[in-house]
Amino acid sequence: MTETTSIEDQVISIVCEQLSASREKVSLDSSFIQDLGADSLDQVELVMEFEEAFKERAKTEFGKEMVIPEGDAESLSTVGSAVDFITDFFAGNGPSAEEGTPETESGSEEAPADEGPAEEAPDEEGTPDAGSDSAGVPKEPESDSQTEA
Amino acid sequence: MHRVVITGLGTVNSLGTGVRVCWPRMLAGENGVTLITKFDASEHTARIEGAVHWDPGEHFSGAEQRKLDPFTMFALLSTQEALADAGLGEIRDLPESGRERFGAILGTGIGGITGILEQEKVYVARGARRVSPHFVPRIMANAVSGQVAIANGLLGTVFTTSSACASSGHAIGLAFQSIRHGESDLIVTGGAESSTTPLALAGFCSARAVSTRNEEPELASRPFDKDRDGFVMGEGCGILILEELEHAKARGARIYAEVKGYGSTDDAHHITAPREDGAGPSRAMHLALTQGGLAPEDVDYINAHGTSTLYNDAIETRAIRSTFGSHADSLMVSSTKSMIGHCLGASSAVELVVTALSIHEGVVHPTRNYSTPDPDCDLDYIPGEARQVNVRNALSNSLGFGGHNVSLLVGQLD
Repeated sequence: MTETTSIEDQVISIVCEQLSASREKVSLDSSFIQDLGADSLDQVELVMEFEEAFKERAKTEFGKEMVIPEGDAESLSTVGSAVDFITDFFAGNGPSAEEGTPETESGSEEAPADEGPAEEAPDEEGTPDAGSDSAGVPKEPESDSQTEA
Repeated sequence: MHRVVITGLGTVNSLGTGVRVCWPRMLAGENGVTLITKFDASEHTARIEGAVHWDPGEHFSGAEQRKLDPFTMFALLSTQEALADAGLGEIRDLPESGRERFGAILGTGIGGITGILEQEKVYVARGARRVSPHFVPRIMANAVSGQVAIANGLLGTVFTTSSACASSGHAIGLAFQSIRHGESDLIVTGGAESSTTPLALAGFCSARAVSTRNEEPELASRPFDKDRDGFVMGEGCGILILEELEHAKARGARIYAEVKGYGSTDDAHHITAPREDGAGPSRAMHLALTQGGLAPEDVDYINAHGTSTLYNDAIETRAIRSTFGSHADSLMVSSTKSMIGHCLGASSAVELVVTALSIHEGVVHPTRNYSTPDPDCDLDYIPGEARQVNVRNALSNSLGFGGHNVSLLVGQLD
């Protein structure tokens, strides 16, 4: 609980600062674009700020930075979805650093963040790297060879 | 051909924010030049500037400040002032069809250099992935005109002009032409510059263009004076609302002055030094007069480019004499740069704001720091005090690196 609350607090604080929004206007349901006056560039920058803010913690807990892949970033449209994504990541459920979701053009809905192989040692492909992949290396999100041994 | 008038004014410069603050200070010959404090200039040979002293937070949110370079913020603020001054504070509430012939043409010398240097540091420290998505739209030179258009719903012709120290002179000249030729009814014009960064200042220092009178900043900008040693880097913005005469009259607008002529020439000589004979600026002044259908004797005042460099002031004097002949001795000439420094791409605009006020109010400001005459500069530079005098017509000159010469002729509405 404390963990979730503090992630939520951090996210809200970042949103207020980035969008110059007052605390009262920001709730978990707030849409960055619809409710808080952000445009698409603001949304991209917000994602960068989330990554930056949680960088040290991610490095401490997982040895690598939290990277929010392109496809996921596009679908983080509300405060709550950002909180969920980051919470999932620190619970070990998020996509690992170098995996992206396959190139999605327009952010299509389609249960984004919780897809993908759940918590496994990223062994599928390259080495888990510390966060400097470029967006979306297409991978099969869920091939049938799950629980890869 | 349509007639073009000035119906609104706005400015930000080292003497303050807003015409109401700056103009009285200019008439009093006050100084806006100070030691640089915003960065460590101890290694620079020149350590003084004409800085805008303001808190952007009073006008723009944190989010806006990240997306707008200072030069653009100056322009947005001054445009707001100028439109309100013109009685057009609610311009964006007009129906779209009413704004399709309203444009914005602004000048800047370098654009968003502050943002460029900032993000370069981010890039070097944290890599490509951390460069702000707002970087490009913030630093591009056209941001100033684009953002002014967006803020005010201007659907007509909108773009930025650039010609170093003549940038806003060209912007105003093109705005004049656009209305004159029937393309537009109203144009927000002028220019903005905020480039006093360690790198840019170092460049000017290396080029030996700037005054190094660091122990006495208030005496450093001394156009036409024998002891002048270079210009003082400044920043700021000037905005003028140019409007088609009948359009202005129909809405009962207050008219400051009429824009009567515009001359634009180049020296084609050297990338920083003006041609010695002053033929370029002389031709520009002559073109402006001819377009306005006026003779040299019809001009009372010249707001000179007057940078306080050895070459400009002497050559500009020569050019004035060449254009005006014997009437040159009856002219009053002053340099606004003597007080606020050189606002580079914004200078022509700030100076035309000043010139329009002079015509409207019948008073001309002095050239500050003029104490020792130079035989090469032998005109009446209005030393000491402002003068109450009827100004029928005036010229405002701007000469930019690259040999660009602009002369704008403005005068009382006949």
